Amino acid sequence: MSFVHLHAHTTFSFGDGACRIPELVAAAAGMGMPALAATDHEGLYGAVRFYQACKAAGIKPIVGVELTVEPAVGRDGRTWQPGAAATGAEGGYGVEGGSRGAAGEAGAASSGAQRPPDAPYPPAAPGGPAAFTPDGHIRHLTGSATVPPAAASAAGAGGHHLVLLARDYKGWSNLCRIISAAHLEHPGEPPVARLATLAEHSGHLVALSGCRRGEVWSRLLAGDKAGARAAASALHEIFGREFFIELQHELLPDSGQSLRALDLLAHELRLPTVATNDVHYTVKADAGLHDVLAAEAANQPLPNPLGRKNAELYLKSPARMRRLFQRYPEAYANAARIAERCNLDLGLGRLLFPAYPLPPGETAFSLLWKRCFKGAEERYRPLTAEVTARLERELKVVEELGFAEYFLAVHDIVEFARGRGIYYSGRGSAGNSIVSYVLRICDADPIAHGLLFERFLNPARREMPDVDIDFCSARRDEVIQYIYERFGHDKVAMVATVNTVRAPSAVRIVSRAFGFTPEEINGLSKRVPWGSAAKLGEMLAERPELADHEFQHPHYRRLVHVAERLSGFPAHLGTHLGGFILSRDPLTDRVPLQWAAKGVVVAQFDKDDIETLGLVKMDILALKMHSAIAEAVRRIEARTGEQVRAWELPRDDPEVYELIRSARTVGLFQLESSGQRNLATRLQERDFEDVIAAISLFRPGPLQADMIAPFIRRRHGREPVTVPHPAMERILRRTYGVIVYQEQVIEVAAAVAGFSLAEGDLLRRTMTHERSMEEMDEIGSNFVEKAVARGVERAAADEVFRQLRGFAAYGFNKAHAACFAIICNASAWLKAHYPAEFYAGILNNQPMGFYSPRVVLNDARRFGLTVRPLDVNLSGEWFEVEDDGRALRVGLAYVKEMSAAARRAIVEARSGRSAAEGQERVEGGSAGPPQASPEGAERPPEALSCPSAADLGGAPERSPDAAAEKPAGEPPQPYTSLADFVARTRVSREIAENLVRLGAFDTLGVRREELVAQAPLLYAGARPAGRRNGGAQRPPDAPDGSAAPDAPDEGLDEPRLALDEQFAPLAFLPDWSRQQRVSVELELLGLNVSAHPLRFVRDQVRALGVTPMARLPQAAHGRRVRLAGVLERAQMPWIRSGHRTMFLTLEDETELGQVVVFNDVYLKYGRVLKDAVYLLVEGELQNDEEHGLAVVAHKIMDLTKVLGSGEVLPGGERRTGEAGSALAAPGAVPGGGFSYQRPDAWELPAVEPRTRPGRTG
Amino acid sequence: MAEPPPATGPAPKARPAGAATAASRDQLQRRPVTFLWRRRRYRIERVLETWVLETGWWKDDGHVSRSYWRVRADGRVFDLRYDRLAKAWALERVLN
Repeated sequence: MSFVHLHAHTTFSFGDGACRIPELVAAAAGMGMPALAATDHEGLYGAVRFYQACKAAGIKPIVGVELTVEPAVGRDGRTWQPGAAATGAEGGYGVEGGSRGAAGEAGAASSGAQRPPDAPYPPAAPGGPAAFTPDGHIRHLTGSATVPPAAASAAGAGGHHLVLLARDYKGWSNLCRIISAAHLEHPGEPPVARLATLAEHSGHLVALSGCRRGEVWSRLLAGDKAGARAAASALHEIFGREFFIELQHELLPDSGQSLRALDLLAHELRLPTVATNDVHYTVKADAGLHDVLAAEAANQPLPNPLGRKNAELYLKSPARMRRLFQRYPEAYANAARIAERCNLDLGLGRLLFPAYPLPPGETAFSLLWKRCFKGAEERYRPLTAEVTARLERELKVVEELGFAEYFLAVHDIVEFARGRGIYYSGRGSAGNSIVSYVLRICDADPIAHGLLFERFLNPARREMPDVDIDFCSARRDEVIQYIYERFGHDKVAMVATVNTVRAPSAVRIVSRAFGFTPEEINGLSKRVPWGSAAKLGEMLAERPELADHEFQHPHYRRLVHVAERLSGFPAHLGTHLGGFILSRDPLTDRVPLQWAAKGVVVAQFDKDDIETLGLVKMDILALKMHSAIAEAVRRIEARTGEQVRAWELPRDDPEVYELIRSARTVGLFQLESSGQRNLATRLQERDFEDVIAAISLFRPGPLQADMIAPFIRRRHGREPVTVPHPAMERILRRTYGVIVYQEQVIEVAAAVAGFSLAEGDLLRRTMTHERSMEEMDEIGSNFVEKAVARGVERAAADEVFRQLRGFAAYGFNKAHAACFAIICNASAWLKAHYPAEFYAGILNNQPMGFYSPRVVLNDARRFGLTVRPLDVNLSGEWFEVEDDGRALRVGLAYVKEMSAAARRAIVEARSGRSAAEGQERVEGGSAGPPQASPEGAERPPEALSCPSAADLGGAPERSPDAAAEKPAGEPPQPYTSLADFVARTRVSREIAENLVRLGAFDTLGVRREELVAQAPLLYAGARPAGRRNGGAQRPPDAPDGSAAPDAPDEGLDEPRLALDEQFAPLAFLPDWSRQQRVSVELELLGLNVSAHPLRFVRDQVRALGVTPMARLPQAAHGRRVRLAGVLERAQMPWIRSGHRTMFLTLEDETELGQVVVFNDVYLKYGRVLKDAVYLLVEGELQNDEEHGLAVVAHKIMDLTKVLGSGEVLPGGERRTGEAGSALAAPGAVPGGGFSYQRPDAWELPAVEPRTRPGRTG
Repeated sequence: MAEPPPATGPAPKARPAGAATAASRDQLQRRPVTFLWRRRRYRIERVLETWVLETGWWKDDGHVSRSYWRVRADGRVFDLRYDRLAKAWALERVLN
């Protein structure tokens, strides 16, 4: 048998491996190696894809890990021994074998300590839940749990390397258990495995002593031969005959010496040796990549302490390895012998469903049957034969495939949500199933919408069903908590995501390694588009905005080249947004687990790996729109008493379709993007099926296939609706002969060529994948022959297949669109009938949707609502509805630096409660306005984010304004002055000043210009925030001079605030201009409340011949127009022609408008788009049914520059005067910009086109 | 695992040489077989150690790529080096 490399690090060693798995496996196979091992650091992150790659290449995969293990010899010289601990169960440190100790002290461990006093890490997190259950399984912590103390992590550093290889599936399970224990017990960098754990799970594993950081070798290098012997003996105790001394010839100056010492030690202890090369890169040329990764890991430029002196850790051929180890033939031969004994079978193809607890006398299928028919009776009245037959047919397939327990588990979860009144919706291909519908997993009726079960579950393919469920974002954690409790903490974990190196991060990594300064690194990377690093050179050559980038200089050529080669390298492990694994057995029998952020336990595999292993993955996703709708429904009930059942609203409400047709769809689910608004003006939706079509058409697949144009032309009668065969008429009637849906492909195949629906789905899948011309011809020939055999004319059959071939890969899943359309209908209905509550729901659940809150609020104003400013006595924590649904009041949560505690204190103090009642520290936070907050960082009060209890049959809930309700009998106590406000709320100076600058005290009789000057005096004696208290502002003393109740005693004098000081009027201070006020709003709220920024240049813009966007619908098609507006979004979707086309969304005072920028114009004016916030666009108006409403740009200019220095737009003022001094510098956007977080115009264009679009579910 | 080698290697009795030399190489064994020093050709009796230095690739002028052989010839121990970039042999040092 040829030599086999048993120690190799792939890119999944995260910073210490540059072997891309496909290249590594191909190289090994090319060298004739019969097997190959992957041994990444501390985990099996790449194991599944490595396993698959090896299988595909025809070589045996050997899966292993290089672990960091606690020392076998403690610092006091005692050696770890199995069973040496007092309990005798785990093992501990017994005989001294190292250089320090004396043999006579053997057995000292019997004093009870399992580790020596100076053991390198502490035991499992003290005070926290033990990592293992009494029966030895990993104890999974719940969402409320926290990551074990950082101290444990820090102390866990150190340890020695040890390579473990799985001999079979039992070995795989043991690897999973050992790795999980190391990560969960001693998280840190690196996690450290306990020898006792190794001893407990050593079966079916082969252990290699490791590299220079292995304990044996490292002790030899340190001259501690006795320690090395002791360590080798201890590991031999654990692994017996499966422990090998690893010999590596790294071609370093001391390599020969090391090899001799290791071989001698092995000989003395009668241990076998094995030759490895500690492979870190597939070919020598990639050594530089490894150097760069090592520099990044060491956080030091090249050369760094982790750097290698040569480039010898590549995949050497058997011949080269034989030459290197010619003095150690046994070690060379043992590599192949070990490989022969490793025969891991991961059992791919089997499905491992979670166990569902069943009542006595029931099987999973009988219970599912009963629940389905009970649900059917509720969903269908009357229950028709068609429904019964469909349900029976689907249930039969479910039984045959053995999926009953899976459906019961999903049903259990959604029933919990329904019972708690938590909004949710199923989506994806699951919507094709009547089982999903009657179990209330999905809400789209598959019979009414012509949805096909075979698109979801194909009886011919036993694949894991994929059910995605969106839950109310604000309450998803309740669902997650339930899942853990219902299915067992040891059987549930989250799915990981592997975040890969993209262009900006690649540039940063290489720049750091090359020793650039942080300023240089920021300068180089900030303008690099968020695209594939592999396309860096291409982007530099083609992107106009990069024409003047430093990387164009030859000096950076090497940097760019290395950065390109880092493309796609795994950067770090992330947590899937909502993917959960539900397992029948303890998860650690099958997958390795570790901690992720926020204290959740995550598998080391991503969703594809989990699916490959046959484990059930369920997407429990968070949808902000559900939270927004739930809040709107609650507010409607509170104001009007009407109970809205969001998912049962009529789907033929004329006002809904009028709203959609008018393209006034900002805020609507799925229909609000500029592309959808354009489509609405062309499509002119009339009913629910049209909404489904709209959702389906504006997708990458249909866009690539140019489906929209023929669809629109045929819909409006400008092109005849034809189908090549009459059997297609019924199927394609609603889409005017155009194949839009994947379900239609299946039906056409069945109708024309006589395929069963399952066969039709297989045909669709086959055509969806990349096929050669010959393969596609063969598929077509088969299709045509079948059709001809059924009497279809050959020419017609050819044409049908031509159309299927053209559209099959691009069609959209109709069930998915139908599920979305229900949410869309609900959002449109709410906007049409209760706009104030609708906008409040949207604005209070940011970030969400396509537009910034600024645009949403402006849209609310255009929709007829009055927008009222911030007021300390009237504003709630969030946007509130006022004036019986005719006005919105800006909420406190939008104020920059406002923390949740501060806004609660402001509302509670004025409601009559004592400011000290339940007072928390009310220092400013750093979260900023909600639009800039991370997911979940800012949430509306729970009472506002829940659906009506009556709506879903749950328990009664608090009213929307419950948080602000004052105790009965206590009158409101509005704030009377800034000093009064500060005294009662004790908010930080930053918050108080921001509120002043925003005019929140304007109604109290003192101008904000004066308050801005006075506010600092109120805090004049206060210590600067955050010096001694973790960034917290010390709360001021109470008005009576007593110390704040929660004020920490820091042993220092706390200067009193001048709360009772009377300030003299400062009438001489000039009023702020309206521009200044809007600038402050943009800076501190991210909103323009008092005026649109273009209001101040209205006349000048008009003089430029600009057409207000609201008047564009009345302008003639083809007319040359000029637009001026704020650049809100820039998108560059992929289209079939391959030409780059950018879509800009501009906003002026009157409306949103869409600008289409074709490639030539983009190349010419791309640089303007890079910097400008205000644009002036010249172009040709498109305004007909075929094109919709848009302006095709001919010229793009920076409006600020066109207007000249004499005109300053809000956000562009310089500091002037007393009032100006209170203004923070606006966003540093050349030419005057906003400080609100505008979507990055360069982010979207860099999104790579999907090669296989249109697949969902 | 990437780890720097300890500062071991050359024996302490080394005497610097550094003189350019010429060596003949066994292509099959990929090792030197003879070398020239002080106008005398030495036949290599045994290769004692071999190591490689490859670093500085990220620098415009600091790239080093060398192979080293510690050899016994005529009862003495020599360190030979081959500079892969300059394609030149040199006698690094004589150890006894």
